[in-house]
Amino acid sequence: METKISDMMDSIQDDTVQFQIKNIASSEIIKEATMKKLQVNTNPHKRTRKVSTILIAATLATILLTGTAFAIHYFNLKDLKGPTVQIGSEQAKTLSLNGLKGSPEYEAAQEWENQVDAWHAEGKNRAASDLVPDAYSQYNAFSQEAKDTLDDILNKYNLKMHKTSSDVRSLDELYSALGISGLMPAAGDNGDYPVGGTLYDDGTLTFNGAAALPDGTDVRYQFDCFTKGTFTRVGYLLADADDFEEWTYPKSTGYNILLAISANKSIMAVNLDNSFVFVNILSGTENNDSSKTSYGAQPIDKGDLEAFADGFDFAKLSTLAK
Amino acid sequence: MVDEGSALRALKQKDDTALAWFIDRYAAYVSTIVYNIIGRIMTASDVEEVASDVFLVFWSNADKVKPDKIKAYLGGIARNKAKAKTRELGQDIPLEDDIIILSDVGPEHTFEKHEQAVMIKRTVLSLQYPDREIFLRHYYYCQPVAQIAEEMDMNISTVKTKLWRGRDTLKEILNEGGYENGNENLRYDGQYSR
Repeated sequence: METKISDMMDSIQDDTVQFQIKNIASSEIIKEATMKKLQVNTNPHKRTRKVSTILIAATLATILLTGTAFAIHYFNLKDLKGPTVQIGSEQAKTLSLNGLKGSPEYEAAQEWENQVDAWHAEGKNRAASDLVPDAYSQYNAFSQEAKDTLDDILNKYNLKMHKTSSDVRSLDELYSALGISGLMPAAGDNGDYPVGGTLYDDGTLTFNGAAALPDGTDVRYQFDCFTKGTFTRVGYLLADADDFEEWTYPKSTGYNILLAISANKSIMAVNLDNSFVFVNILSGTENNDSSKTSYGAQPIDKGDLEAFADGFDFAKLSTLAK
Repeated sequence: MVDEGSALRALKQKDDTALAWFIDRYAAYVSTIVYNIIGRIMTASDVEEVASDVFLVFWSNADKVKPDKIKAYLGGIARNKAKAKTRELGQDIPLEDDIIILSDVGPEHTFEKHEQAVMIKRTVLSLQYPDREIFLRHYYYCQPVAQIAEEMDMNISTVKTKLWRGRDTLKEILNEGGYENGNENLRYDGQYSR
């Protein structure tokens, strides 16, 4: 598997290197440009928030008037079962992150991952050392054959590739980029867990976060919200559905949230009308397996998991999809 | 403003004179980092534009910045903003053997990107001087090998050798971690996700 060293270092912060400082730019010009952007950014953000509020209010009004309420999609973990994969000498069960079994996103992911594995076994589709990244690179489609095959799969399932993305390094930065706040639980202590994520042009969002629950418990989580009709290559979560106790947690907003808890990890999944949300929480009832990375997170119980779910605003999340 | 701590407190209160104070103090540092990455393909005014974006992020995220990490924070944002700019322009940053190939046993498996980042950080920090500084200068700050050699008073082949050694250490540790620790949070073939 090829990867770029420079990309792997994105989350590092360093202040040890002493550069020969160059006088390339004027601090006065930078100051002026920054202050101008500050003024411009402050106002549109306010406008964006207003628009978002109006949109949400309009959506709520439509629901009340039509009596349709948000779509209620019941499902359970078996609807997310992915393929069994070989890890070293052992077989491991997986859960799909892209969507429910039978959905275009789920089926496309299965086909593409199988194809990538087949090429890998044959030594095909390797990235050249002088690779210029393009839209296909995000799916590990490097050869022309791979690009054509990906196009075929996306056409078959009527899915689109992401066009652009931007990285965010904190919840505040994410809210600032979106012009919406309050999507997720309040930020908690992240320990040494790196917080940050990627926001795509179509509203798809992946984010690793740390949340403080009302009783002070800190949890770390991997959040994915995939806009339906788009394709994101996330692979699978190594997890056995049979290890979890699962239940549906209705919130007063009308969303049905699938919650599942095991000894060392927990899951929250919601099938919204225009996106699919999957959250892997790095805490379970025991957190006692030293081979697993929990980043020092504390154990949680079912009540904690429900409190965690309460921290999400699914009405706002459903406005992200474009 | 008398020191960084009080300036940061003022910045958190959204005092724009504090922002101006930080710009005076760090504009050259931020611009140097940005220039190292985009200087080959863009103009001085582009450097100023990216640098102003860096200070805008600093303003927005002041609450998250620790007083003893201001320089590191600004450096990280400068580096990543400049990298993003090169991507916008469809340009690649020419670095020595930037592509690393990890274990190829069976189907592709890899760390989830952020977990991988933690291991990268630990690995880089475990390198001794000057290897660590050379590695950071090239793969983090994207400084050309010749410039590193000049600034660190070394010859080019020594810099390249030390980069090669760092890459080898990194590859070894990542491959070991990726396949031998049974990390439950590994994602099957999920390198792209984050």
